[in-house]
Amino acid sequence: MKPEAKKDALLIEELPGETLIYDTKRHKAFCLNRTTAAVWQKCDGGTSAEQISKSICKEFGVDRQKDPEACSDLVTLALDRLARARLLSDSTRTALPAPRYSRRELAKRLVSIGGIAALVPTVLTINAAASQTATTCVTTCNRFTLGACCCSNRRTCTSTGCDGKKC
Amino acid sequence: MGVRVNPRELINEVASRLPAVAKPATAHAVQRLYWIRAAGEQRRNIKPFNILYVDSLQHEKSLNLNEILSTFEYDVELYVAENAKQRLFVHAGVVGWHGRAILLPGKTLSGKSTLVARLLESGASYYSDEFALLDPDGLVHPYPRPLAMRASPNLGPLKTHVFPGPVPRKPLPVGLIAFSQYEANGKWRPRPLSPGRAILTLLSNTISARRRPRFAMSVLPKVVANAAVVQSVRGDAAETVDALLQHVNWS
Repeated sequence: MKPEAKKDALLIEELPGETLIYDTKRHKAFCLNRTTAAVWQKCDGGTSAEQISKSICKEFGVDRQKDPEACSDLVTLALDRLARARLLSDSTRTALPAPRYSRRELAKRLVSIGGIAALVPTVLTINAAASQTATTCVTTCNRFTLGACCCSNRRTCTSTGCDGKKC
Repeated sequence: MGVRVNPRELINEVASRLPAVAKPATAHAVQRLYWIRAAGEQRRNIKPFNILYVDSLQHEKSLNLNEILSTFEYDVELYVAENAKQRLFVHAGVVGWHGRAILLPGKTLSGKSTLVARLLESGASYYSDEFALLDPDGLVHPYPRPLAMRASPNLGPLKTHVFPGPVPRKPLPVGLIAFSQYEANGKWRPRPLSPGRAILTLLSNTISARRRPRFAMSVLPKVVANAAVVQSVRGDAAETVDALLQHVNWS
């Protein structure tokens, strides 16, 4: 399998040790840690998952001799996290194997072979604020304040009044 | 933007609802036109509605003029926040402290204004209790408006106070960003946030994030670049402010 990253309609900002991605179509923002960002950058549709895991091992100094599968598990988990965030192409997402280990289990394994737990792939996701939800609460609901938070009962405005989700 | 009122006597009340940073303009064309028509004398079989029009379309009508004015105030603020070209509006309380700014981002009812009020009592200067106005260099500008708090910490209408002293004009670099959420028995136990996580959380409080994500993604990294960023629930505001000021190491 040769994973391919989705790159269209994305804004990318590199930070020290992290990569920020903003999806301008879905209005979601993601923060990838160093490992996940490295995996994502190598998903060019021409490099296999095995080649990516070798490269990641080398880049992050994971000892393949102590645990030959640690790197491939690391990459599988990173690909799984990226797929969940829909940062991989549709064809890649359907072809991905399920990760064998959870983040916690993988962190323990990495530590046991002298790696660091911070290498465990993470993808943080948020929805960019709709303008109404990012402002102070409203006293009345109308069609222009849908989604805003009602001051009276801390519920969002719907078409019928202050009876939406808790805010 | 332009505002028409009817009757004329309403103009001072309407003007008091405009952002304090609003200035008269000489342009004849406006991007957005509000018209507030107050109910006249009551006539038989006709309900005395007050009506707010925006760009010639009816926006809201109500028997209560105050509701119309509140909607007008909300809409103006939102429109400005979404469409300002050189400023990024982040929902946050802001104070100045020894040449740098403390940002207190948070959703509505998270207790920003209470913390701002406490910080002012401790000697901070007032920038805003509602929006952090960030310029393209990541500096924060004042957005003065009367400090508004609720009678109860969680619920109830806003109780507006007067301006808490003079508002500085100088933009400041951000020194500390504290994400907090009030909880009745909460204890302030701050944990540091990475720059990436801090930017994500700021994005979720940025008014024009969806409309202008490129601008937001260029400004926010500059804001967090030299700032300490912490997050915690909090209880009593006074205790939190004491603890917050211990984080402040630039004074």
